[in-house]
Amino acid sequence: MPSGHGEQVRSTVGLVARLLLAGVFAVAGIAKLRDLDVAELSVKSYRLLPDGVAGVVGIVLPLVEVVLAVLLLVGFGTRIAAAIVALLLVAFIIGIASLWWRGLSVGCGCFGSSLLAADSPPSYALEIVRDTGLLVAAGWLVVRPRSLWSLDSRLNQPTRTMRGT
Amino acid sequence: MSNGQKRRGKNPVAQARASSGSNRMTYLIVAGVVAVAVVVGVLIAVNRGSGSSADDAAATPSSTVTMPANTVSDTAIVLGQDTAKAKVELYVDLQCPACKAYEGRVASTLEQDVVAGKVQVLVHPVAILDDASSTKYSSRAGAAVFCAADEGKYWPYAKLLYEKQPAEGSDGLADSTLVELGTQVGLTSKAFATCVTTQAKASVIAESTTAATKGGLSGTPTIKVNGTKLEKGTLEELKAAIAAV
Repeated sequence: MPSGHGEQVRSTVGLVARLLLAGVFAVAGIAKLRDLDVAELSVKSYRLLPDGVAGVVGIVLPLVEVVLAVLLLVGFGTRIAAAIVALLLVAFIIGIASLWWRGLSVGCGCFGSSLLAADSPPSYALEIVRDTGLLVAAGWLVVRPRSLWSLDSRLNQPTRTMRGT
Repeated sequence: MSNGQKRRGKNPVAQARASSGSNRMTYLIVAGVVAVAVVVGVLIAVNRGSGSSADDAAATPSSTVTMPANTVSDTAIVLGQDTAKAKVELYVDLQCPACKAYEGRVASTLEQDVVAGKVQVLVHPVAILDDASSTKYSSRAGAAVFCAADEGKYWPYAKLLYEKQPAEGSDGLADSTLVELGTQVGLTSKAFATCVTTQAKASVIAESTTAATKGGLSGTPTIKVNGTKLEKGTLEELKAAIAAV
């Protein structure tokens, strides 16, 4: 049964993508929530949004990251959650690229950071590569949200049986 | 068991749709949960915004001690006695928002420890953010705090400049405003006003910046306690470092 096998492989890839994104977003969100001053300053330091708006985004962002991490972890609403994750990642990539482009050396603050200056300059290229990798994982889930051990498949099981008969 | 057979026998497209969480109810729930997170975040941010300025205002009078007048050495602005065991070095840029935030966190602790003779604070103002304003506010403010330091009033003046810190990307504060703010902390002398408006300390802040950069400064704020760089930027970290000396 080659098709059944492929299906299983793809569902496993979906699971890995979910767990990867959930892990990264949970770590990033929680790290930022641990120091809200830094979370606010971090978004302001991009100098892309007015200070007032940036401060609000700085607090909203980690909360949304944690919520998305939980949704992906349990596999609920995988497609829509992954789509929001993908949008965020695109925004992050644009933001980091704009720092690079403008020659600002301010660390992306992706995983929270310290109020104090970092020892080494930020590595924008690496950050963009990392976010692009995550974007691929999110894209996979948007296109093919079915994955192993997801709440989605559990919840839809009764519907499916009804439809199947 | 039979479930597995059923699953395999089904049309893969319908199957995918059914189990992918793409039905309307799921979308609504996800949108709702995300919306709640956004609303909670906005509420926290708004609360902090209004609360933090009130906190700042409250924090200043509530610290019962006042930082003593500073002296000026070749390389730094010095607060507290030479006999203090812990030397806390601050590399700060008046334009740097994180410096402002750090100052807000640690100022009252430093004031108490300096008055108690436990800590000597050595401030190295630097100007590395001139490109963050259209008027090189970083350098001008840096020069202005050296003017204030000549009269022993670095600490209250720098505190006030942090409070009035212009946003990055703005025009910064005008020299006349820098003079006017000085009068609020008792810098009413003609000498101070002239010092600020003529940029008399421009070379001092430039030298201070060059020296710090040569010494490996990577950014602001950089805080050292007896030569060891702090990393986390929390008050607890600073307190522990002072206690460990």
